[in-house]
Parts: sequence; structure tokens; C-alpha cells
Amino acid sequence: MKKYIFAILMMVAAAFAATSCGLEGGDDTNTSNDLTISVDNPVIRADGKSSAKITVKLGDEVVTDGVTIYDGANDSRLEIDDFTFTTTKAGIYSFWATYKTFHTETVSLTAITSPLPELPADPKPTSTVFKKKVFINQFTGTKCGYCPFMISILEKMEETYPGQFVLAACHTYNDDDPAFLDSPIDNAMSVAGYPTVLLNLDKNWKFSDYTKPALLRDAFEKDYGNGKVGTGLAVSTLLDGSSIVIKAQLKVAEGGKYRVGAWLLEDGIKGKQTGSDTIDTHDNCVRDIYSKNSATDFSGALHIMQAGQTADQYFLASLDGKWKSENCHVVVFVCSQKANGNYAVSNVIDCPLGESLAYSYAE
Amino acid sequence: MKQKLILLLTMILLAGGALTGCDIVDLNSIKSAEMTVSAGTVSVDVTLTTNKIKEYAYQVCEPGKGFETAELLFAKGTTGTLVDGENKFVVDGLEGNTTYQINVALKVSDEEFYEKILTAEFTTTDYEQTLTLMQTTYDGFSLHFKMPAGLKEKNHVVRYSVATLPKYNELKTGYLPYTDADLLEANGQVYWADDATLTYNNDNIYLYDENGNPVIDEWTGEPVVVHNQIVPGEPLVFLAGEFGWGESSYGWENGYYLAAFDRDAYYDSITPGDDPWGPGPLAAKEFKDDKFWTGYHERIYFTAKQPDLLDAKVNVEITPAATSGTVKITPEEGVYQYCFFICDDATYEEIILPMYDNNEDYLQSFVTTVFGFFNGCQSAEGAIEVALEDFAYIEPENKYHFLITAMGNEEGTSQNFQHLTFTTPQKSGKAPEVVVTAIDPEEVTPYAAYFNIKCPTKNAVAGKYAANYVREFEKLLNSTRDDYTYQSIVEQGYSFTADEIAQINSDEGYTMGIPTVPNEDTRLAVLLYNNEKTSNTISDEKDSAVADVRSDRVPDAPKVDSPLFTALLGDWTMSADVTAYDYYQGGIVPVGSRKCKVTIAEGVEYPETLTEEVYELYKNGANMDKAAVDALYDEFKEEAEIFNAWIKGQNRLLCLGYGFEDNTEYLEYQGAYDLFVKEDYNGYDNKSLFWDFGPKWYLEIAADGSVSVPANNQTMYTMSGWKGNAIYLAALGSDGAAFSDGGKDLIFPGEVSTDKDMITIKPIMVKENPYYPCAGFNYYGQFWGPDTYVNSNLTLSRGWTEPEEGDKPATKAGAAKADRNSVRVLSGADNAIPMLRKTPLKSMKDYKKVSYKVVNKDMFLSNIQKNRNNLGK
Repeated sequence: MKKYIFAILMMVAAAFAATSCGLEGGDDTNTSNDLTISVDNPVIRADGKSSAKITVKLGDEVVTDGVTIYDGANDSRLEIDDFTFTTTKAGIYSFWATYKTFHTETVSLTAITSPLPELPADPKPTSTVFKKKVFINQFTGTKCGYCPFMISILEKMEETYPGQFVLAACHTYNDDDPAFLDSPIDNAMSVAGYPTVLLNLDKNWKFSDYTKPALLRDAFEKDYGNGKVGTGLAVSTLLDGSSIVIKAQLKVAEGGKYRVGAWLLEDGIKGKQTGSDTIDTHDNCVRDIYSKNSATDFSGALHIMQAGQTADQYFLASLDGKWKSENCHVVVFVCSQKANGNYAVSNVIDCPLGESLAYSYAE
Repeated sequence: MKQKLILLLTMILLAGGALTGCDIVDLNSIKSAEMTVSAGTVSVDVTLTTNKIKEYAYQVCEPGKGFETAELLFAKGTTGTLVDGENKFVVDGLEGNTTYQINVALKVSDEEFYEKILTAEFTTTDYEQTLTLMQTTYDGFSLHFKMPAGLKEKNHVVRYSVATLPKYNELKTGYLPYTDADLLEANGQVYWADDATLTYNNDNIYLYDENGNPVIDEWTGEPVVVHNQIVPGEPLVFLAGEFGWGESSYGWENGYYLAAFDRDAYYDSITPGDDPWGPGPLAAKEFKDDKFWTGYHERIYFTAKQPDLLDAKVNVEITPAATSGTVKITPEEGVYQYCFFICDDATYEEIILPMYDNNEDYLQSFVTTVFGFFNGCQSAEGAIEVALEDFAYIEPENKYHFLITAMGNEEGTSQNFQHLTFTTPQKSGKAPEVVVTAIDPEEVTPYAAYFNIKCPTKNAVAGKYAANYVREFEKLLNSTRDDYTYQSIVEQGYSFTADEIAQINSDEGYTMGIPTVPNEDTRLAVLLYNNEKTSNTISDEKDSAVADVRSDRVPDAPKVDSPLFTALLGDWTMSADVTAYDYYQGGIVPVGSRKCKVTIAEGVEYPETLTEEVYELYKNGANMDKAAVDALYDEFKEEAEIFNAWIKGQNRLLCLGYGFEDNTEYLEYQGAYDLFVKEDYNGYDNKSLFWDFGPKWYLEIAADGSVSVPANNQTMYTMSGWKGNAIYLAALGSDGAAFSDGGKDLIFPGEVSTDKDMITIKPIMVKENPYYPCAGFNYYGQFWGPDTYVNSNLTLSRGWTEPEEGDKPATKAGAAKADRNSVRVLSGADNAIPMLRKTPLKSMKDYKKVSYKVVNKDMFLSNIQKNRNNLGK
């Protein structure tokens, strides 16, 4: 009996030893060290009422207590009631936050004096089958003697495929062109000669031989397919004085990475075209590009999407005094990621400046 | 019993200790941190001795300034991880002899910062070296200069310059390379007169004024460039040297241009027999001019901060062939862009590597630099596939190098580098088989010769052809030059298009037509290449890649009956007003009326039999016996009859003689029979004689009695060709431009007087501009005429009187050929000699006009070059 008592006592002692605390230190119970900050509205109106909600998350969990918000401009602490930011002063504001030992990157928002455009209602909220348009970029110039051949081909394309593509003419050839676009986009697209036509901002698809228009038509038809695509766009544009506010929304059928960009185009620019006795007015001339990520990347802002999700993208710009707003229109495009990792336009819309376009669904 | 009791007590104690929890303290579990610092001149060594602390963040700042909380230090400072015990790191880029404060925050866990901020104040030591490299960054460096003692008193300064290692090495190699004194003087803008700190980075590539505006160079109109962009890891050379006040060797105004360098002694030291090609291996970094400095001179080598290792790379798949190949590049996620370079082993070993002191570690940055791009480096994003032969000349059994640097961002601060080599295999492909077949179309084709070309092995990827009259081939092949072979002739010929190659590879082959003249033998020779650039070999005209076609004779025109065919026969005096180039006054001026003899005949005349002198001529000159000469002459007579039949069939008369030049030899007349018996003339065959004799031209008679002079340099015999150049009748305007009607016959209208004693040949009128008949020859698309040019109607008066000596037109001193305007074709495609097939116009492209920014470094090098002409002796 005494032996058994002793053994039990030994076992009890060992059990307590095993559960004693403080010798080795506890494990971290928080397995995520990814502190993020976001704002729900990247653009608000500087009227003291329009607001942006600042959200700080540790991993997937929203945190509030113990969070300190800092001004990204001078790293001073900010007191923001209920994490809701408003202002009456236009400008760019940036924030970052700390929580425990974590800190976030900086997030920015822009406060503007102009009104914010409202997107038109989605006619089919649950649908993700959209009408497709092909994005055609024409690299040209008024002093390019061979460009009239390509202009003629594109005019015939318009007759043959009405409403199936959006054309943007980049006048990057000669800098005394009234429609000259001072942008390295021709280098970015590896344009080596003029005229050149590019489909969907895809460098692998360039067309220069205007003696063989069938090649362009074949490629166009192959890309257009049945005219349906799983990426759709809606846009609302606003012109307030010389300030341009564009709100675009992307909706996708499949999850993945997408990029959204916008360009401003102007019609009716007068300029004598070398090589032609009749062409002296130029339409669809690209005036401004809002999709530039670098000197070689014009594919637009990145959105990582889930299937069926929507994402908003704002573009803020200014109208040059020399451009005629009544002749301006905004092209908004979405780029999808290809199998090789590169991006190419999968859909595009064209909206007059100051107007809106709802999603366009394929029947 | 006692033992059991002790054991029980021991167990109770152990259990009791366990039950009462953490009263036993393990010193190893206490979190602790201590910091010591040791200051250098431009850096501070920091030692953190810590326990149970995982990370640190620090900031070095002015005392009393800087972040005071751990949150701010970890968010804005420089961070690192810790191990228990001693942890060391260095902070560089500090100024010497300056007091700083370092604040260090520590993180115990994700939940908790260490209880206090560690702070230390320190003072860096004073500068001891003249040049102290303070810090290198990804895009540049900071460097401190301490003025050497005594220079200020002498009113001397220190000029400085920075170059990339390959650029510096390039300037220090070759015959009499640049001295450091040359380079520093040419870099005229910058010098130090006192202690200074120099920082180069992307923010100060251009020179800015006090208002932050770029300074514009008055000469170039462009912003002044202070330094070229520096990339991560790039090796650099910094030069500094003492200069006094004086006149610049480049002819600038006085300034600090006198280097403390004994230039005379340096050049005196270069004795005959010295190796003039530089100082030896560059990697030794010893240059001959170094020891001729009489004052301060220094050169330091360093690199920009090395990029971090990028945790992503590009997958490279190289598929080499004997003379070509492909490279497939697929970047992983995280690769922003990449730069790559391909070269053969000789270029790598003899050009690239020596420029980098044979240090392969520098190749990673080489691929991303301007020097790299000037040597063929390329940049790209995303997956691509390129052809090897677009980047290097690919040869069989040769070793090549492929360098690729992947970058994680646009600045290249994180990179991943690969250096691959590959060897091309030997050629293994069969040469294409070529079969060229003459085609005899059903319809009459006097002006074209047709051939079919097939490649039965269907492995042609490119090809070339040469087509000409058989005699032209034979002239070249039998010339005194031994480098004319079928192979070399065709290699200089025209290329087939991709479409044509595809047809050649098909079962039907490719049929092509070559413009020719009637009744003429045209030969086509073809080379086809496989994908290893191996071609068929043509040995002689019997090769399957060579074929001949004789074109048809011209069908007769509807017969015209006219008395003019007999009435106009005989000798005539042809006159015209002519112009010529005046070398004294310049420009083309009228020189008055000239005349020449023209004989109008029904055709070529020839004796029925040959004389003994002729037989002797052929015996001595060609070792031909009488029978052979008779046979040859029989052939001549056949050709003469063919020629005469052609003239008659086209309702034409033959006009013999033309020319208004001072130098009458230029258009000297020789008939066909004259050429047959001419000792110093060699024709390929009898047909050649009828091609070459002249000058000859034709008077065509219409049914209504009108006359005209037809001419066509593509479908008619030459006007004259026996002197070497093929001369044709062209239509020339007063401004020297020639008129062409798309290959159709030129028709100069004419009329015959009622008494038939005068014939007037008029110009062709094009939009009220006259184009007169002129003789000249086509030289690579340009019309080169004789001394004079017809500038009026041609008037033929019956009869000819040989002029006496004094009747010759006065010779213009300095008269010579050429210097006429080049041919400007006003309409039609071209008026080229019909040696080769016309190719269709391809679609043309304009190329964007590029404006160049001229920066001061160009001025720098051009200044260098000026000084090269004066070695200072």
C-alpha cells in the first residue's frame, strides 16, 4: 500500500511540474502580423459632410481599441472620431496607423470641391455577361505620309463592325501636330514605325502593313468572338470648371487580378494630313492618359477581385484650356491578366465627358 | 524507513514547488537590452546586447530631435532582427566631427514593445583622408572632401570627376590613352576650393539653381547634366587632382586649368618601342600617367550599394541551333522587369570582361546600365520569346553567354542575376535542292522570260536570284577577276519574299517573269538557304539551279506601204541646238548648234564573203581556222537577217549615227560588221554585236506618212554598247529630268517635208514641257549623259559633207561628263536597265522623328578630342 501511495504522489508531482508556468515563456497567440489600413472612399467632397471611413485590420479582424492614427504628411497623431474622416479643405490626405507593435502602410484619399459623380443604376445586378468592345490604338500623326492608308482602313472597319470597338488615336509622330500627345506610350507599346495599330494594348498584337488589311480584320474578329465577355464597366463623368472627376466601376465574372484605366479623347481637331488631300479633321485623339503606372506600363490601377464583385476606381484630372470639353469623351478600359502574366484590355467603353454609362449586358 | 521518508519529503517539496507556480526565477528569461556605440568618421558601430528581444528599429538624428516612441521608430526607422546576445550593425552616411543621437526601440513580441527606448549620443571623428566615402546608396553615393594642406595658399583647387568603371577603362586604353589630367581639365565645371561634401543620386542628375529650377546650358539649350544616372551595384571611379590658375589647353578663358601634372615628362617617357596600346591589364589599376603628377592626385574605386536579393527570378529556356535559336523568358511573380544580354565568347572575354577589370561580379549591374544598352542589352516585361540571331551573330559550334538581371521594381533595388552559357551545335541540315525550269508560255512573249523555281526538299527559308542576259553572265564569269562565280553573283542579287519562298517550297513551285528584249537568251540562277543559312552550290550553267530562256521575236506590225521607205534612204546631216555644262561659269549653258552624220538604211549591211585579213585576224586572235570563221560568219548573217526583219516588220528604218559632243569618241559609230572584224572588241556571241553596234536608232513610218522615233531602254537594243556602257535614247527636259512612261515606248513625233529632203524630230511634250531625245546611259538609276544635251528639234537635211578641221565646234575647256541632275521619273515606275525583275513596291513606313538631348558630357568628350590633336609637347 505504501508503495502505491508513493507512486501516486510521484505522478502527481510530475503532473504539476509539467504544468508549471513561467519557465519557457508563452506562445504568441496572435498568428497574424499583417496590419492594414484602408478607406472606403478614396475621393470625398471637401464639404464637411462627405466622409471616408478608415478601417484598420489585423489580418481579417477589424481593430479599433488601441489603434493610433497618424498624419502621413508629418507623422503626428490624429484624433479621428469614430474613424470617420471629413474635411472642408480640398487636398490629398494620407494616414497610417499603429496597433500594439504593428504599423500599417500609408493610405491616401483626395478631398475635392467638385461634386462626386454618381454611377447609373445597374440594370442587371446579378449578371456578369457583358457586351464586349475591342480597344484599338492607332499610332499616327499629321505629318506621317503613309498614315492616310491606315486611316482609310479604320474608317472601313467602322462601317464593317459598327459599335464593336473603341478607337483611340495617339498622335505621337510629330510634335507640331495639333493633336500631339506628349507621352512615352509609343515606346511603351514598342511602336517602331508609323502607322501602327495596336489591339487591346497588347504589344504582341501590332499591325503595320496597310497593304494587308485582312490581317487586322482577322485578328479583330478573332478577339471580338461572339461579342460577350466576363468583364464589365460602368462610368460616370463630371466636369466642374476645369476639374474632371471620373468614377468607374468594374464588375467581373471570375476572380483574379484586373487593371482599370481611363483616357481622355477629343474629336474635331483641325490639322492638314500629309499624304491626303481630304483629311484635315481628326477625331478620337488621345489628350490625356490616366492609366500610366510607369514609363512602360499603361494598364491602369490594380484590383484583386472575387467572382461577381465590383470595385470602384476614381480618376481625377484637369481639362487643358486648349481642349474643347464639348468634343471630349472618356474611354475607360479593363485589362485582364493573360496566362503569361501580362495584361491586355478585355473590355472598353466610351462615354461623353459629363455623362454616364451603365453596364451594357449581352443579350 | 529513513530513506523512504527522505524520498517522500523530497517529492513533497517538488510537488509543493509545482503547486505554488512561478516563484523560481530563471535569469535567462529576463528581457534585457544594452547598447554601446563606437563612432568612426562617417559611420557608427552599434552593438545591441539583448535577451528575449526579437527586433529593433533605430533612427540617427540631431540630439534632441527624432522619434521618441517605439511606434514611430518601428514605422519610420530602420529595422532589423535580433538574437540573444550581441548584435552589431553599422550606420553610415554620417558627417565627420558631428554630434548625433541614436534612438533604438525594441520589440519583445507582436504584442509588446520593450519597456524603454535606448538612446546614446556620440560624436564622429574628424576627417583624416582627403577623400572619404561616406555612404553608397542604390542610386549614388556621398563623399567628403578635405582640402589638402597648402593648396589654398597656392590658390590651387582640386578638380574632380566620376565615371563608370567601363567608361573610365575605355578612356584609359588604346593608343596614347587619356591621362587623368586630360579628363579632369575637360570636365570644366567642377572643382573644390575648400572642404566639401558631394552627394550624387537620382535627385541631382540635373543642375538646379537656388530656386529649384534646372539650369539651362546656353550652348545646347538643354538642362545641364551633372552626372549620369547610377544604378545599384554599379562600379564607379572617382578622380581628383590639383589644378592651378592658367590658360586651358582647350582654348577656354583662363581658369583653374593647369594640372599639377608634368605633361612633357609624361610624353617624353613614352619611348619608341613602348607598347602604345595602353598601360597593360586594366585590372591592375596602374596607369603610366599616375606618377607624373606633381601635386595632389587621387583615384578611388567603389560601387553603388548592392541591390537586395529578389526572391523571384526569370525562367530562361534557350534553344540554340547552328545559326539561329530562340530564348524563352518567363518571369516569376514579383519580377517587375528584366534586362538581358547575349554575346559570343570572344566578345565576352575580350571586350566586356576587361572593361570590368575581369570581375564577373559587376556583370549583374552591367546589364542594367547605359553602357550595357550601347552594347546590345535589352529590357523587357512579361513573358517573351526572342530570336538569338537578333542579338548576336550565331555561328555553329560557338560558345555564347546569356546574362539576365531581374528586378523587383523600377529602381532595381532588388535583383536576381543569372549568367548562362550555351554552345551552338554544328550544322546538320541539308542544303535545299533547287530546280529552275524555263517556261515557254503559249502566247508570244518577246519582252519577258518565264521560269519556274521549285525546292523539292521543301526546306528553303530564304533565297536569292540573279537574272540577266546570258552574255552578261558570261562576261563576269570569264572576266579577269577570279571572285566572280555563280555563287558570288547570285549572293549579290535580289532576295525572295517570304510569300515567294512559300511558293517555291510548294509542289507547283514559283513562276516568275524577267523583263527582256526580243529574241534574247535570259538566264536565271537561284540560291536557296535552309534555316542554318546553308545554300545549294551552283557549279556551272548546267546546274539544276540555272536555266536559260530565249524570248520570242516581236510579231510584225501591220504592214505599211509608203514611198518613204525608199525615199528617205541615204546620208543625212542632223543638227540641233545643244547645251552643255560650263565649268568656268557653272551651270548649263547653250553652246549653239551642232551637227552629225546620220545614215538611214533599210537594215544592217554586210559583205557576202570575208576577206583574208579577217581570217588572219581570227586565226591570230582566237586561233580559229577558216571553217570555224565561216561558220561564225554564217551565224552573223542569220542574226543580221533577224535584226533586219525586225526593223522591217515594225515599219521602221535604221538610223546610224548620233552625237553632238566635243569628244566624238563617246558616240563613235561602229556597225555590226565593223564589230565582227574589230580586233579590240569581244562580243559574247553574234547576237551581242547587234545589241552593241551603233549608235543606232529608228525612224518609224506610219500609214499616213508621218514619222516618229521610238525608244525604250527596257525592250529595245541599246543605242550603242560596244564601248562598255549601254547607251540609250532618253527624253530629257531642260532641267535635266528624264521622262519615263512606265516602261512604254517613248515616241518622239516627227514630220517629213514635202520634198522629202528634211525630216524634223520633235520633243515629247508633257504638260507643255518639252523632253528632247538625248543619248546617255543608266548608271544605278541615274542618267549620265555625254557632254552636250539636245535642246531643240532634231533637223535632218539630206546629204552629208565631212567637216574640215576648222569646222569642228570649238572645244569648251574643261568639258567633261557627269554632273547632270539625277533621273527624276515624272511618271511610271522606273526606267532601269532590264537586268532584273521588277519587284513590287512594299508598303513604306515613316519613322518617328527623334529629338536628341545634348548634354554636357558630349561637350566634355569633344573637348577631349580637340586636345588630342595637341599632345602638349
